[in-house]
Amino acid sequence: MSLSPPSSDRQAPPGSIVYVIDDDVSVRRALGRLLRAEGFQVQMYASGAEFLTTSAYAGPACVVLDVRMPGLSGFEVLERLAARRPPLPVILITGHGDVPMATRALNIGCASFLAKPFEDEELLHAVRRALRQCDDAGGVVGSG
Amino acid sequence: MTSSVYADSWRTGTAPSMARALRLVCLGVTVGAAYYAGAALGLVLKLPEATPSVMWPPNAILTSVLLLTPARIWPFALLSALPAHVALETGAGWPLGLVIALFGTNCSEALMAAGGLRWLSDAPLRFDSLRRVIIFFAVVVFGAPFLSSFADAGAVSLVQDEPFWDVWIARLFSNTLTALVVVPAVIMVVRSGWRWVTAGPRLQHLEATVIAGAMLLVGVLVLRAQAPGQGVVAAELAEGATLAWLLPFLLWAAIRLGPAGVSVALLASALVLVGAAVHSHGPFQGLTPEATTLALQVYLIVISVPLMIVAALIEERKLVQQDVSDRLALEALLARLSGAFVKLPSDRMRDVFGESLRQIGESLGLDAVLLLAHAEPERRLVAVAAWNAPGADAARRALEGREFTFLPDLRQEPVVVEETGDPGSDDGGGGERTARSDVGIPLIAEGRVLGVLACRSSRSISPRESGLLEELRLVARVLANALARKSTEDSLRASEAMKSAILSSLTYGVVVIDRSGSVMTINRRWRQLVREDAVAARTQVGAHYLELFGSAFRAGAVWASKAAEGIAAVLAGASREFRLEYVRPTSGGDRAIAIRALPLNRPEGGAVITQVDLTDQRRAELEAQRARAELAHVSRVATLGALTASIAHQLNQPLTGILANAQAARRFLSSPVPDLDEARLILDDIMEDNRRASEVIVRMREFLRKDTGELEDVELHGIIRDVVRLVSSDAIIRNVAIVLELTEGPAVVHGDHVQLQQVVLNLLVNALEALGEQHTRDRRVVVRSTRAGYDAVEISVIDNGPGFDCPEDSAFEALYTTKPGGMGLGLSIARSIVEAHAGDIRATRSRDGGATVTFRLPLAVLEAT
Repeated sequence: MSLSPPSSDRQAPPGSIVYVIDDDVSVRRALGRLLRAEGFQVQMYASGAEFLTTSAYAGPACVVLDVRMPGLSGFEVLERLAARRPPLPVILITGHGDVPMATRALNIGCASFLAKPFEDEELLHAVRRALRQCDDAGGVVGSG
Repeated sequence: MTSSVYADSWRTGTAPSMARALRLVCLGVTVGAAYYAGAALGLVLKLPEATPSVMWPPNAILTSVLLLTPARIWPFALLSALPAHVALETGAGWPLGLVIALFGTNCSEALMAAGGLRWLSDAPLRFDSLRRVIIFFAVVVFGAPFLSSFADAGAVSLVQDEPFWDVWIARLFSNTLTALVVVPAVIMVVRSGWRWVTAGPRLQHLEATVIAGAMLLVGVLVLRAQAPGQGVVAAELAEGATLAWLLPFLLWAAIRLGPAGVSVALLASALVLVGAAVHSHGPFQGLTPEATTLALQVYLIVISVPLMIVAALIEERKLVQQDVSDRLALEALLARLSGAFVKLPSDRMRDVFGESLRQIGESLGLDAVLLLAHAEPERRLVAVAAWNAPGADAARRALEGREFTFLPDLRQEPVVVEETGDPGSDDGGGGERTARSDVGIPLIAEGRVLGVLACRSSRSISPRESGLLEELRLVARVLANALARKSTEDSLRASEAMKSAILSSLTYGVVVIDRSGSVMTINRRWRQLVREDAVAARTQVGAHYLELFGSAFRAGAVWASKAAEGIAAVLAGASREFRLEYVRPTSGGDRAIAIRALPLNRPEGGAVITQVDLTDQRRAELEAQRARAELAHVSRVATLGALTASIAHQLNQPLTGILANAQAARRFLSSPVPDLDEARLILDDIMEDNRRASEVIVRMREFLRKDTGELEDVELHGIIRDVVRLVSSDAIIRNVAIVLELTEGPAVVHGDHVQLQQVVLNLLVNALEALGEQHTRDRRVVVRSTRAGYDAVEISVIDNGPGFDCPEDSAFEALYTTKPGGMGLGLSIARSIVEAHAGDIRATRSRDGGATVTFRLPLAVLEAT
C-alpha cells in the first residue's frame, strides 16, 4: 500500500540527501543501498531520537521513516519535523499499516506512506517527489 | 452397707386407720386380760400362809408383750395393764399407793428386760443358740428381776413394814422363775404356736401330745396323792418324786421339740409342781412355806436353765446343719448357674436366664424374681427374664408394676424395701411381721452396673434377719458375670458384623493376612475384582498369600515378584507401606490395578492389602489431561491471534529487507561496472533476513503445535528469550520495553517445552496488555530469574502497570478477566501447567503498584546437583 499526493515524476535535485531512520538494521541497510544505487546521498539512523539529536542538513532532503520503533515512534518524529518551517518531507514506511494510520500520517503532513514490503520504484518515486517538494519549497536548513 | 426402707402397716397405708385402731384396742384388751389372768394366777400360786407368790406372771407377761410389739406402742401396752393391776391388787386390800408403785416396778422390770434383750441380742425373740439363751438369762431372767426387786422390796417394806431383804429375795426368785418359764413359752406360742399347730410335723404333734398327756397324768396323780391309800406311785409323788417323773418328759421335749417345746413343757411342769406345792404335795414338803417356796423356785430354776441350754444347743446344731445344707444348696445352685452360662452362645442366654431365675426362686424360697439389664444407648432398664412361684403371679406383676421406682437409685449397693404387717408373729426383731420384702441388687461386673436382680419374698430380706441378701448377692454376681459375658459377646458380634458390613461396602478389595502371610479375611469386592487375576482368584482364607505371587511370576506376571517383595517387607516391619500399580490383561481389555499394603496395627502383626481398579480413574485423568492440552492449545492460538500485528511486523521486516536488497542488487548489477563486493554483501544480508523470517515462522509453528506431553530437560532462559522475541514487536507496538534480568548460566527444569513456553508467553502478554491501558511514558516489563534454594528456580514477570484490581489469588481462577474481550484463561492455564510441573505460582503487587507474577519450578536433577 502506498499513499502520496499526486505529482509528476521528475528527477531529484542534485545533492539531495535522504535520511533513512529504521531500528531494523537489515531494512535500514537495504534501503540505504537501494537509494545509493539511484544516486542519492543517504544517511542512516537507528532511531528517531538519534536523527533528531545528531543530524544537520541543508538543501533538498527528505526522510524515510519507520513507524514502529522502540523509543520515539515514527509518528512522534513526524510530528516534530512537521512542526518545523519549512517542513522536512517525510516518507513513512511501516510493516503493518492500515488506512486510518495512513490517513493520520498524511494529516500530520507526511509526504508519502508506504507499507512494507514495497517495490523499489514506489520508494524511489516517493523520495524524488519529496525532494522536489522540498526543493520547490526552497530547501530546508536545520538540524535534528 | 444395705439400704433398707421400712413401711409398716401400723403407720402407713397398708392397713386402714379403723382397722389399726381396732387392732390397738384388741392389743390393749388382750394385754389387760393377760395381765389380770397372770396376776390372778400369781395370787393363787401361793403356799398357804406365805406372802410371796411362787410365780408372779404379770411381769413376765409385760416383758413378753414388749418384746412382741414395736417400741413406739410400749407405753400403750403398759398402760393397758394398769386397770387390771389396780383392780386386782386393790381388791386384795393393798393401799393404792403401793399398788401404783408396784405397777411401776413391774413395768420397770419389763422395760429393762425387753429393752436390754433387744439391745444385746441379734434376735431377741429367738432362743435357738447358746449365745441368745445366755443373753436372755442374763438380761431377762436375772438382770431385770435383780434390779426391779430392789424397788419392789423398798416399796413393800416401806408400806407394809416387811423386812426388806426377805421381800427382795422372795420377789427376785419369784420373778426370775416366772421370767424363765413364762417369757419363752409366751413368745414361742404367740410367734409360732398356731403355725406349728396347723403346719408343724405330725410326729412332733404326736410327741407333744404324749408329753402333755404324761404331764397331765403326773399332775393328776400328784393331786390325788393326798388321798390315803393311793398306792406307791402316788405316795412317791406326794413325797417329792414328782420331778423325777417329769424330768424324762422335759428332756424329751428339749431334744425333740426344741426351745419352743421345752419352754412350754417347763411352764407346764412349773405349774404342776407349784400347784402340787400349793396343795401341800410334791417335793420339799415339811418345810416352812417360805422355805418350800424358795426351794421350789430354786429347784425349777436349776432344772430349767440346763434344759433350755440343751434345747438351744440342739436347735443351734440343727440350724448350723441347716445352714450348711443351705450353703451347700446355694453353692450347688451357683455352680449350676455358672455352668449353665459357660460356653453358651450369648444369643441363647436369654432362655437360660429364665430357667436360672426359676432355680434361684425355688432354691431361695422367693415369690418372684426379675432380671433387668441396661439397654443401650439410653441405659434404660429392660426386663431380660422373669419368674414367679406357682400362684404368685401377682407378686411378679407387682414387682414389674413398681416401674422399678427404687431401681434408678441403684448404684453399687442393694436396696431393700420391706413392708411389715401384724405384730407378734414370724421372726421379726422389732416385734413386727414382715409382710413382704423387695430387693434390688445391682449386677456389677468390672466396676460397671449392667443391670438389676429384683426379687420379692414373703420373708425378710433384711441382713439383720437372714442370710438371704448375702445369698442373693452371690447369685447376682454369677448373673452379672453372665450378663457381662453376654454384653461382651454381643459387642463383639456387633463389632464383627460392623466390620463385615464395612468390608463388604468398600469399593476396593481388601485382604488381611497374618504375620506368616496366611489369609485371614477377604472382602466381597476383592472376589469381584479378581475374577480374572491369576493370584487373587486363588486367594482363599488360610491360603499363603505370598506364595501365590511366586506361581503368578512363573506364569509371566512380572509385577508379582515386586509385589511379593514389597508385601513381605511390610510384614517384616522393614517398610511402613508398599504401593504398586500394574496392568492386568482381561478379556475386556487391560485394567490398571493398584495394590497397597499397610501393616496391621496389632501386636501379632500382619498386613492389610487393598486392591483397587484404577482403570476408570486413569481414563478420566487422561481425558482431563487431553482436555487441558486442548484448552491450552486453543489458548495458544488465541494468544497468537492477539499477536498477529506483532508477527506480521516480524515477518515484514526481513521481507522488506530481502526485497529492498534484491532490488538494490539488480541495480548494482545493471551498472556498467557491477560492484560485485556490494552484491555479495547484499546476498549475505538477504540470506540473513531469510533466516530471520524462517525463525519467526518456526517459532510460531512450534508454538502452535499440540504438545505431546513428553517431558524433557528444558532450559528456561532460552524459552524466555524465544518468547520475548515473539512478543518483541508487540512490545514495540505497545511502546513497552521488555527488560531481561536472568541469572548467569542455564536454568534447566524437567518439563514440557511447549507448555512452559506458554506459561512465559501468557505472563508476558498479560503484562503487555496491562501496560497497554497505561499512558505513562516509561512502560516496562521485567522478566527476572532467581534461584529459590538449591533446587528450584523462580521466574518473575514484573510490570509497572495498574496492578491487579482483584484479590491476587482470584487472578488465577479460570474465566476470570478484567480485560474486555479477554477469555480469562491465560493465568489459569499458566497455573495448571506450573502445578503439573510440581511448581507453584503466585501473584503479588509490585513496589511501584504494578503486578508481579512469579512461578517456581524444581530444577532438574542435573541442575539441582
